[in-house]
Amino acid sequence: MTSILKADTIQDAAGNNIINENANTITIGASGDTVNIPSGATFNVQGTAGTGFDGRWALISTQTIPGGATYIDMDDVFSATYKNYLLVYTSVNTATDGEDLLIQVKTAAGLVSGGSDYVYGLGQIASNAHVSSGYSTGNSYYRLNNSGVGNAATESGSGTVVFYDPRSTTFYHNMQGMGAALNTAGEAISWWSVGTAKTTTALTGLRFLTASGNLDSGVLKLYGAND
Amino acid sequence: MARFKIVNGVKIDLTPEEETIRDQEEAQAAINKQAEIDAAAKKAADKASADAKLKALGLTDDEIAAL
Repeated sequence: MTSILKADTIQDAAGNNIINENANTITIGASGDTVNIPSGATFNVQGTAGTGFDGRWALISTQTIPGGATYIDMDDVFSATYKNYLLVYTSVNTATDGEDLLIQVKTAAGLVSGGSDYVYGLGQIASNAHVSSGYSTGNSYYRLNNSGVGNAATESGSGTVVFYDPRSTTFYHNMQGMGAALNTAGEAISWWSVGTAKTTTALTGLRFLTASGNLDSGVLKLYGAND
Repeated sequence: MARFKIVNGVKIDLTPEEETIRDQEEAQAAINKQAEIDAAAKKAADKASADAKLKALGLTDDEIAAL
């Protein structure tokens, strides 16, 4: 036998609302209350997250790099749903020793790869205290790191790239990267970089690649968030 | 072996046109890398030359490093 308790409001002994339902809106607690999800419990959002969830990063795409891949493309991932995007690449292993990691972007018309479509600048520090930098005032890609990522069995590169407002049709598209890797000499390197795709066409996707050679392993995850 | 790309998780062989573009990218990358090596070597040589001239003027290694 199933028992059903019908009520629009459940209150505590003092008359304070615990749960209220009105016109299909359910309110838990009241202003000033604390609502706890106990340790060990799981809190799932089955549908679309509503207001109050802005700012969190929502997973949009995951791609695992198989051995020998030349390009990793994420197509049709930038949409009106999110304003900004975060690419996280983890444990990327290059097939060729000393390769640089690059980003290209896509529009509905295809890959943005003209010889002066991108500008970038970057700085890098290594565990031997060597500080270096690089830049380009016109290139066919956005370069993330200044010296190459090593390809030994224990060497890889990981990092993030933020894509700011890639759907804008007013502004050029700014990107910002940070990363860490071991270089060809086995030194730890960390870099920070900025790149701009000089198009006001809305971006739809991205390409992750090395300057030369292929990618052997790693995972790419793209997240979206609103400002 | 033909190159391939991963597009939204799907493995796709590069077209002949894409192969040509990748060949050009790799050729340019080799040129860029050599240019960086040459620039670094020149910078190191210039530094060594400058250090030698400063030492000839009587500066110590610590004084040169402090510049």
